Amino acid sequence: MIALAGFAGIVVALSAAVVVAVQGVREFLSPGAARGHLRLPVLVLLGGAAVAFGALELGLVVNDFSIEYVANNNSRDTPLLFTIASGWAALEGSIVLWGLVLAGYTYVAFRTVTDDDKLGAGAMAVMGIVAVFFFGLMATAANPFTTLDVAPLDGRGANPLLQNNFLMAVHPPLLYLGFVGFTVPFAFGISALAGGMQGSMWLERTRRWSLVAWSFLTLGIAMGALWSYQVLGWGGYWAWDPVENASLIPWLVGTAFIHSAIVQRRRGMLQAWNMMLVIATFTLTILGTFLTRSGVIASVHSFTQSAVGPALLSFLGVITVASLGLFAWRAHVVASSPRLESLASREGVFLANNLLLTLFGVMVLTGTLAPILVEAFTGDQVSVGRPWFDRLSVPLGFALLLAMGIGPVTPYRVARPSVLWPRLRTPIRLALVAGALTVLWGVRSLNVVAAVVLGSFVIAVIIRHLFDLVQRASSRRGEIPAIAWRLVRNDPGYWGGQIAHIGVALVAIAIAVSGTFSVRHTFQMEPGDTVDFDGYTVTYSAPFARNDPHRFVLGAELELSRGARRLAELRPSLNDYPNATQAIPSPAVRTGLTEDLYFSLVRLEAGAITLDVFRNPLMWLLWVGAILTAVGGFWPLLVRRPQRTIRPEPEEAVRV
Amino acid sequence: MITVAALAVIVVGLAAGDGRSGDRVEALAAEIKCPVCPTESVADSTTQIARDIKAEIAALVADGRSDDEIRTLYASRYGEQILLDPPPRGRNLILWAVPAAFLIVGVGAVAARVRPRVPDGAD
Repeated sequence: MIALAGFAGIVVALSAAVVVAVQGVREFLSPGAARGHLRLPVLVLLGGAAVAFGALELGLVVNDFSIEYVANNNSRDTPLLFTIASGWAALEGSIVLWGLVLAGYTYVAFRTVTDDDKLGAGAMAVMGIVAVFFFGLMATAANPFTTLDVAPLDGRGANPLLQNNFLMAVHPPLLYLGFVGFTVPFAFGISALAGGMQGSMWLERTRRWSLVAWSFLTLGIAMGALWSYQVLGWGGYWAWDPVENASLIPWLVGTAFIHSAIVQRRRGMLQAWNMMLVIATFTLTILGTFLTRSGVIASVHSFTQSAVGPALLSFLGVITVASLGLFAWRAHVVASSPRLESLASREGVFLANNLLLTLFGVMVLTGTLAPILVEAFTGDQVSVGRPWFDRLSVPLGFALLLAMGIGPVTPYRVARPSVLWPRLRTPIRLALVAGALTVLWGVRSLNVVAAVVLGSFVIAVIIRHLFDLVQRASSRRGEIPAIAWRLVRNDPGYWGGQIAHIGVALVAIAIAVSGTFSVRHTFQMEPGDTVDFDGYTVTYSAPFARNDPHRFVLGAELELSRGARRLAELRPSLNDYPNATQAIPSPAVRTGLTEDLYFSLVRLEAGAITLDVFRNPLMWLLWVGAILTAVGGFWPLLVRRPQRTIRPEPEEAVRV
Repeated sequence: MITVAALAVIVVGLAAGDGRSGDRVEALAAEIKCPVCPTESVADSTTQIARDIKAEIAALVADGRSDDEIRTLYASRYGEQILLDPPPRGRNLILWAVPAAFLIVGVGAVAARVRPRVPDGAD
């Protein structure tokens, strides 16, 4: 019954998506009543998607094991939170969530469509076509509502990696809100391209959705890294794993896009380039989904076992060929941009930013795809890992930080040294002092010192600039916070960007510090044993075992102290799930201001343990920086401008 | 003055502290893939075989073997896919060629967009 309702939802949504696509095309060719013709199908699409997703969740919650997906991904003992999260933890369910998010974005994009809106109608057509693919996939190869003739008494239970930490429940929805969100600017871009519409209207209309998508993607990647840190027990958070890279590549290219979009909106340049970037970003989200969901990474030769892999690959091919074909055919119509007057200008720095970010993206893409392609075509195996990725990503990261520091205070058109130097002089001095202090502190790592210098440069430039603007507005001391707040609120696009920049600078410092100074100790201990490391003392009191409804927990009770002071009692564990072959670790992490102490239980046999202890410095800075980055992206949506001014004051001041 | 002093401290400090003297075992362990993992190195992986290989690398280093000898040893034992930093030759060159080609095209495209400054007294 539930399965039937859910499948009906999919079919209804699929039909509605077809109508959205057809009506979108019709209204694109001869606009007139776009709103009226699209409202019903868009609402039905959203309704159908909601019914499908709701039915899947209902099936999970009421343990309807006649549905194969429920039987495979849930059990009576699975805690409710993980039962709900199972709705998107496996392949078929994740595509249902994808469809729901896509329907949601289609609806909110539709709300901006007016009756004689060629651009909007075309965008709806594109979103309809994308929806046809995904709901078509659900109706066929990835049907989550296939039923079993004989319903088992109990299911196999949720994915053990999911059940082990709630982060796995929030990570995929955030990532999908990011991935799918880029469909909106892609759809408007394609519409503008097909219609030969010059100007930046498609960018103006999708600016907020690009930022929403980018911010969610930022959060999604950060949550994925935090999950890796909290669950996998290896003390790290980023492994350059293909699945991680699959989310990083669209983020890099999407970041290039939201920056170059500013150049087009402000200076009318880079029209064709922006089309290219939005096409690339969207295509890369589909590629990322293909890489993570088809099984191609595990084995090149096994991804055809399910029809989902080939279907995603075909869709990827169609999207790429169609978009690039359209681009080749129409780009000259929309591209008529003034040339750059000088590289020493805001536009020049934006171009440098774009070059660096897309090069970064190409680099990660090459390193991710090369092993797969080499194996597919020659049968040979190649591994590409951290040393290869770090070689280029470290200098690229530093170059990006430098551009990030200079760019936001560089005037448009032509930047004269007499204007730029006063804005950079003090920050450069502060950054070098910060670097010198780091060296005097005893740090001899070039990467760390460079990250500290460049990171503090970025932050100092931003703070000095704000301070400068405040002082121009008023010289009275008491008013400073109020004026600063007003400035940051009245130009949320610019200052949101700066908040994100501060976040990225903090992340860069945290990556360099934790990557350089992480230490791992491994201890073999019997109950009652005590070991010392780096001034800390750990006592292994006793093993413990606990039977949770859904798992068996085996762990070690540890006491951590420093000198005579007892710091904490820690209980790292290994968790056995009935449907897992290997135990999933739950490390015990003690976060401090200077470092995390991270205890990961590797083995527990007859009371004896193998314990990994990591000291990871400044980890909190990484998470704070990542969240700040996302907050910066959301900033223009979080604060409403008091009224729509023609040109906010701070930007004027920048152009002096 | 402060700028110069700070710069001097940084340069002297970094030059004095030999950044390369870092742990050779850790550096090598980061280059050797754990044989049973998809992409993790024996430095990152928590599996037993990774621990064994890391201990073996430490022994080889203590034995006076060079980095290249150790890399070759593992490549011959497990195949070249054990190296996480593929040697830049043959088919592997594509890993360097693609980003390099992109960089050249990108720089060229940016350069082509710049026009000489109009003589309107700018500057």
